[in-house]
Amino acid sequence: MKKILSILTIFIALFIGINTVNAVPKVDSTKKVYDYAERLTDDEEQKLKQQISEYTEEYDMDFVFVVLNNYTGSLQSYAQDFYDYNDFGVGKTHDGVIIVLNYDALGIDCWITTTGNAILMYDDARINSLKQRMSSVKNQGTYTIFSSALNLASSQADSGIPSSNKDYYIDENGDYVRKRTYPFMGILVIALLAAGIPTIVFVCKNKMVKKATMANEYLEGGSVSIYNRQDQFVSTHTSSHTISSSSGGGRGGSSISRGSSGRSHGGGGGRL
Amino acid sequence: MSKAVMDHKCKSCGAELKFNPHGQNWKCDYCKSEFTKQEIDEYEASRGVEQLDSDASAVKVEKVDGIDEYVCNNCGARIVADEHTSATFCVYCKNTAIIKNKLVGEFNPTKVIPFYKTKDDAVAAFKGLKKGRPFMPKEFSDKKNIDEIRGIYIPFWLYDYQIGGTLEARATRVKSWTSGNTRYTKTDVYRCVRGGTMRFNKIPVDGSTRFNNDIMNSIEPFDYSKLVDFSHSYLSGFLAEKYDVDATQANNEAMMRAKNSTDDVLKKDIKGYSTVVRTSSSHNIAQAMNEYVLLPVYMLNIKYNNKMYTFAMNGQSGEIVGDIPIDKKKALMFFFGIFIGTIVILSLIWFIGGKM
Repeated sequence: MKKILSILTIFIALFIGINTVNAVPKVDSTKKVYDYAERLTDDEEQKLKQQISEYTEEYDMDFVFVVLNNYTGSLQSYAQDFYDYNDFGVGKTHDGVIIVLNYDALGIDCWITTTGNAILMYDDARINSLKQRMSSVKNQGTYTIFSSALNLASSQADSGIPSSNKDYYIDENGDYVRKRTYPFMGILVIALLAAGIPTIVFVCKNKMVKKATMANEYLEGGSVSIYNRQDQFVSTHTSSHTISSSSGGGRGGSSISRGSSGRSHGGGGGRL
Repeated sequence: MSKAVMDHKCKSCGAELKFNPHGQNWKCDYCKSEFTKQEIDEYEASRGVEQLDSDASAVKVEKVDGIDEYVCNNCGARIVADEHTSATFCVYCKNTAIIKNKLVGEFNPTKVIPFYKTKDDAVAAFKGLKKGRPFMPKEFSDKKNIDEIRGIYIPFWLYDYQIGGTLEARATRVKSWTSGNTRYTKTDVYRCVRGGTMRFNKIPVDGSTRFNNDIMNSIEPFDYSKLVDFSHSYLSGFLAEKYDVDATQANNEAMMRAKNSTDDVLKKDIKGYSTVVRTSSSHNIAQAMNEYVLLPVYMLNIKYNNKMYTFAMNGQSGEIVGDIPIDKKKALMFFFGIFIGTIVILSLIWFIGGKM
């Protein structure tokens, strides 16, 4: 059922995405660094490609850098489509990361998109850290931005999957799915209640003898005469307590969106 | 010479007449003739038979180690009974043996509520206990055990009180409201006093130490409008006891119940408060009267795991009580059956849900 839905979603996404795909150029996916804004030297591109190669070797995930100039469309869609339609990624679930920088009159806009197991590795908190790292070196040139992002991504990957994503996994379709853990305690509690309540009810039904301490049923009707009623105010006190408004608490995990290709992606971005 | 008898003879066939709870008359088990008390009295008067209070249908002949031995007037067999038994059965001829000298003088009840339920009613009521009680041991539905159910007239003291009471209580009125993000609770404390008088009629106290007071309390109430003047005739077909708890002893229990109820009535008069807690109370018994009566009860004792379990049924209303022991094996099987069954079903739902 889930498979059918996924296929249907991909089909619909493909159909809708036909018009958006044309904004993404078809590239050689082995290059890994695509500088459409002429911000990197050939040497810097080569160094980045070498670092990406080492990263991929170490963590089995792809890494792609794209630099744009005055791109006016959605950077998120661009990043997702660029990654998906150029067939980046490692393995069946296309594990990898793409970072797109767009230089415009206001400065640098950035989007980081994760795919496959990279969604698990880079949760929202880590994506935010990457963005902050890039922002902190934004004045040191595009190469430094990418290089420091890749370094941080490597050290994050060394730490393994963050705890916020421990309960999730990437299924065979590359979708970010919550793990189904057997609700042992919940089932145990329900079973205890289901067995315990009727058992207690039946046990209590066997006890019929009650100690009589009152004689209300022998009170003669109309014989009660209350001749003394006194209600004296003694004291008053007022207490107060502050109502604590529940703070929502941090949401872990990764924010997911679906690209026009139908694949699931994590990530985030904004202006550096 | 007039003949003194305890049991009544059928004017049709001469057999013993027994009290018939459903018809509230006397019935011959042999020819099925039924007679009212008036008809019996008229018949016996015409035959010159005199109902004497000083004679018995069983005559005491010996007392050994606290056990009295009697001779059945019907068949001459020997009947043993303890000092509290006032009516029993001859095990040979099944004739009711009313030991008359046990119910004379101070032991002579003033009133009696006759049985309204038959033994068959009691057996059916006891069998009905099984319904909705899956942990009842099988010994309690064994016909042989249930057939041992016996109708007994239990001695009861009935107390009337005119009582005056004063109750002092601490009452609170609590009001809560919210302003901004602060919740306020205002508690006003009051000292409340209520004084009043009331009357209690016929609070019953079991007059025999042989019967568990809590069981006897649990089969209350009896409909006292059906109390009739005591006559030994009502004992025919049933067992009977005489009291061994005197009126002064029993008075303490009845008075405790009357005082508790007085407090309850006065406390209920304190209205309009969030909480009412009694701090003190005092009582003045203006008038107290007691009456010694016999009330109809069916009793059944069943031994289970070396312990005797007693059941009682109100012979007038049919209310039946008694603590039924738990068959631990049945209870454990029931508990673990549902427990494991629930785990299996929920686990299956979880696993099937995961595959869809």
